[in-house]
Amino acid sequence: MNNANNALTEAVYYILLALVEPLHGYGIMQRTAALSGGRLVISAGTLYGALSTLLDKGWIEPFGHAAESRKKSYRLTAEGRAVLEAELARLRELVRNGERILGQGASDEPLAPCRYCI
Amino acid sequence: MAQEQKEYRTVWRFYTIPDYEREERWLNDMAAAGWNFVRTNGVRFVFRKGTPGEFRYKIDLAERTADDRVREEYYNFLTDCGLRIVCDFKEFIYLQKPTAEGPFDAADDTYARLRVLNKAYDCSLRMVCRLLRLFTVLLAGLLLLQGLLPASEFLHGMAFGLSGGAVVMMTLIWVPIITGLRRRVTALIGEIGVKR
Repeated sequence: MNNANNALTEAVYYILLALVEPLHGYGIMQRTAALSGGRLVISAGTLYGALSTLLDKGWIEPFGHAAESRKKSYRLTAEGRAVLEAELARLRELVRNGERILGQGASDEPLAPCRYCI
Repeated sequence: MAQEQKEYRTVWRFYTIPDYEREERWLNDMAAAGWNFVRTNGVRFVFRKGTPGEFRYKIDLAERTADDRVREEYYNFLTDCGLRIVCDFKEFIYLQKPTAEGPFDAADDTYARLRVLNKAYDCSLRMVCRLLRLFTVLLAGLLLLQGLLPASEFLHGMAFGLSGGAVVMMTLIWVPIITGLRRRVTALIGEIGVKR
């Protein structure tokens, strides 16, 4: 799995984060809104498309038997968790570099050598 | 004495496929004025008198498939997400949500806009293909009749009119619709390249 150049969209990042616990569609919408402090409102259509793609990629899986209702629940797979952790590392790098260049008094630290130039 | 207001109101309007955002704005304007959308057959819109601003509306399009199970699954998903499907007409799905429960999506959700726009583009292409198939079958039928029956000015004129009509309709109506939608899709993809 190589996600070096595959940045997740904000919606996908939060959907994966929400699915650390099993949730159904409406639960995911509520959880992502709560996680982002109400800033991220994912439309039902976007969520439907994202869930289909994530299922195809194997990053999430159906969870439990919804015998009493037709609501489908999903949860993160081990592969999904690895993707999420890789994304977190990428985001940390973004913040570190942003702070190094734009942050106050943090410019003394040398930049890491470019991996393509070594 | 003031006359009692009618509970229902019918408005005749026609929106083409690319105009779905304009149609959606109009439905929301009507809801803000206290007229809640009930149903449509594409040109006849029925509204019921209600509390101004109680609901908001969104137009979505069916998933790109002729499979009824997928369509039903998508409908179930939408209702599971707390949305009410007020009415569906052909590819169009009219969704309703209480205003108090917040918007359908973030106002700047480019992905959500691209997703619906892409479905509108796809829907238009499928419609053109259907029309082309229909014209081809009709034309083939007419040519066959011409071959079987004695020479007829009427059949000849019909075949000529049908082909001419198809070409004019494609050029004047469908080509601008398809290219316009394609341009909007490209613009949104460009926007996503800058703003994720």
